[in-house]
Amino acid sequence: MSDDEIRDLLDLGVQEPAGGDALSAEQLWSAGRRQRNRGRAWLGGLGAAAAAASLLGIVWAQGLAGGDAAPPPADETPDTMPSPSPTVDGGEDARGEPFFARFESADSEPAAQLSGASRPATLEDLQGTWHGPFGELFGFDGDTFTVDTGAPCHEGGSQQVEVSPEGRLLVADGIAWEQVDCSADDEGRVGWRYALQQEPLLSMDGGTLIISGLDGTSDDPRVPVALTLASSEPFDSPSVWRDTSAQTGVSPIELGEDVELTIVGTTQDAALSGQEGSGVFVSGIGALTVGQQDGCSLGLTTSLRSDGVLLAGDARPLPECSTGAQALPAVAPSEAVLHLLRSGPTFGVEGATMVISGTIPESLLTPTEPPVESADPTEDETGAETPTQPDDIPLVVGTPRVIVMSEGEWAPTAELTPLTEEAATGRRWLPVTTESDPPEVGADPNGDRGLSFDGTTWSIRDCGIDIRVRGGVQDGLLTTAGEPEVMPDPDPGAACVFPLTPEEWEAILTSEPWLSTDGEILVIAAGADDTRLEPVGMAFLADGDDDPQGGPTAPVTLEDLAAGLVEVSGDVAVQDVGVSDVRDPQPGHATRLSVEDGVVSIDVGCAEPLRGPAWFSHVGPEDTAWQLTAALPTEPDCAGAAADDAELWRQLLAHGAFLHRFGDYVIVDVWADPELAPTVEP
Amino acid sequence: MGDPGAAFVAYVTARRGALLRSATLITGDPHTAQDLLQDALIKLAARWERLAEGSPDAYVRRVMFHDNVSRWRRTGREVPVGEVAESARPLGGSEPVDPARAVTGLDVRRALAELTDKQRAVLVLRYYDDLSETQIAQTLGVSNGTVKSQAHAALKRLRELLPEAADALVGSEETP
Repeated sequence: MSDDEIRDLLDLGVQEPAGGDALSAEQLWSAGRRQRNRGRAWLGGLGAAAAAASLLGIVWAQGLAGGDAAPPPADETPDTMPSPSPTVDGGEDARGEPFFARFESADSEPAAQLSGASRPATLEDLQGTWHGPFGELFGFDGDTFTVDTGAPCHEGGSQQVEVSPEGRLLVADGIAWEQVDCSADDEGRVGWRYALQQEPLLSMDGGTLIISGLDGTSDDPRVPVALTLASSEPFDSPSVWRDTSAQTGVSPIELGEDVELTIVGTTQDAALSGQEGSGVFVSGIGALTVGQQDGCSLGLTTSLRSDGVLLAGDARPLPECSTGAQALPAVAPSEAVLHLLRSGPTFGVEGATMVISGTIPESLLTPTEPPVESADPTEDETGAETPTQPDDIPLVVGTPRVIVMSEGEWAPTAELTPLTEEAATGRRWLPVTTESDPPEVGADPNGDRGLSFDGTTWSIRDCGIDIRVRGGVQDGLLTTAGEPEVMPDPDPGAACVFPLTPEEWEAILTSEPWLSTDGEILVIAAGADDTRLEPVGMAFLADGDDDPQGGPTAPVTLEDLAAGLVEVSGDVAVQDVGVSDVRDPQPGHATRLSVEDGVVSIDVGCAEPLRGPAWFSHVGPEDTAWQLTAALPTEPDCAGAAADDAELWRQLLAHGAFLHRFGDYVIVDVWADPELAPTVEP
Repeated sequence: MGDPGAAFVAYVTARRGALLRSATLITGDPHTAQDLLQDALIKLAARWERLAEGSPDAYVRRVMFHDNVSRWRRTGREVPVGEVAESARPLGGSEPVDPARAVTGLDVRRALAELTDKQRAVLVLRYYDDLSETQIAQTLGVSNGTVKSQAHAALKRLRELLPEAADALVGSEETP
């Protein structure tokens, strides 16, 4: 009986389950399949992850903070069409549902309809009083913005504001809203209290003020997507557009089979208007409909801004759909398409191809956008284990390798900072042999050896190597333009020894490596091949800690590293510490790690501990985000699982491992070749 | 083989309520529980073909337990708003016990929140989800002995925290 009583007691503690926000079983299925097909998403909760992304140039498969990072262009896919601007649909942290509200000036007659062509508003345009669709009164007096949300609540306040060049309303310290215990549930009414905090776009269509953006009512992250359409008669009005093959690198979505998008617009001759590009461009969109050729369509009120941003209101069935013989329900295109059109996307036409690039809630992104008619996610035909396009983009590609160079004597301070173009220009770094202790800087008998940058061109010159490539470096990221020039046999007859071959240097320079400096030392973190890396997690403890406890997150210090850390077994790391993506190539061996005097020592069971120069650097905005980078030997004196462990550690530290404390535990988060060790399953 | 999506939807429809109640007991907060369960079900969907033939429940419970540990590892243990002040005072501490006082749901939630993650999970799996020791050990990835000792410790702690219910809080494995 007692067990039953305990059961009853626990039953008493069950609160009413949360309702309302729950995803349906179908939505869970879609999300799970999308997750599987997308590949491994890493622990997004850690601030270190964001720092890692920014420092390593990792591209989130899904955007963070409002979808401000888009997947890179796919191979061989020209990215000539407009890409989504991170600021189009709101500030960097903007969230919520798209809104579109027309305001008319109190000093002029309301316009019957929009002209379809608009431009970013300026503070000068805004001066005066504006009437909104639900009786809102917005006033601008100089830079003072006054809000009255209208009857019945009349919430409001005033605040100093700025208007950015793109027409975004910037409320410096938020509006001090007068508290009113009131709610107004009119359909379509914008919740201005939150929407105005999302840096909405202000645009002028003739004398009408359009305020648009995201309303801040949901936390769903938004991800960049693009709709690529083609038309046989692109410059007619109306022009009819249908799906064509995607021409941008961002996740494509589709209208769906038999669905078309019709634009009633105006075009102008580019040459006459001083526009670049093709001969004709769309200068205004007065109306836009989406639907099937012989069915009822949805219409959206639209206006195209001079900067290519498409403003669109709610999608509503066209009037003819509700009358007479045409009284048919409107054909609903996918929610993703409607969200995209209303997200304030950029709109670009090149010849007979149109690209509309914007954002949608992440939950609407599916690996292969289902046909319009298919709303049943159980029809997802992704049963195969092989990941499918289009958003199967690995987070990090290329087996990590690190190359250390120096301008002069070896004098590390053990902390790295990203290299900037200004700091790189005019410098020349020589190869460093990190296997020797201390590391040895290479000779420069002719005064022309090493890696150098003159502001426009990167050059590497060594015995038997002479490669130049145009490019630059920004916040540590080396980028190149065009093919490298490789001089064949620049030192005929010389007996060259190649720590790195010309081919390897060519690959390094063109792989968008990350460059960081420590005084005269240059550290290059590059990806060597097409290996898709996966997240790796590990847990460590101070040597001798027999009663470890989890606890608050805190930074790891150099003192922690100097004192030495011992690896926690994979099972314990997963089960007791809760580390994700744990790898443990040698379950019976506890790896020991320490850093002293700028040298890391890692004992994985080889004949000698792995040793190499190391740097411990603070990265990103989080105070807990510290990164340990090191150059470890590529050929350790061991075999089998120990050799795999050694290679895992070489990879982990080549691009920098992120460390943070969780109570007594030190957690390591990084990426590596998944072939080296399987994930320890919970 | 049938439509895997339809089978998944049927599974979620049938089991969601029970799993959500377990998650609520594990987390102490229905909203966090909802998130925890949804995340676990999404992971289940990603591996459905592999897990459908086995025990999807066990997988979902295992993921919920580990994700709950991971969640507070990253964010710190959170006490639901509104219960902070009450949970700050020691339960069953210096206040005299009124044997006639009925234990409320809030009392139980506050008491559960005082347990370790593992103790709470063992208790919920053992007495609420009615799993055997072996099933719990497999779910949590611990030994049978650990399950027994954690259950014992959890009940002992609950008796201290809920003295009004002490008589009821004697597990079958604790009876002589």
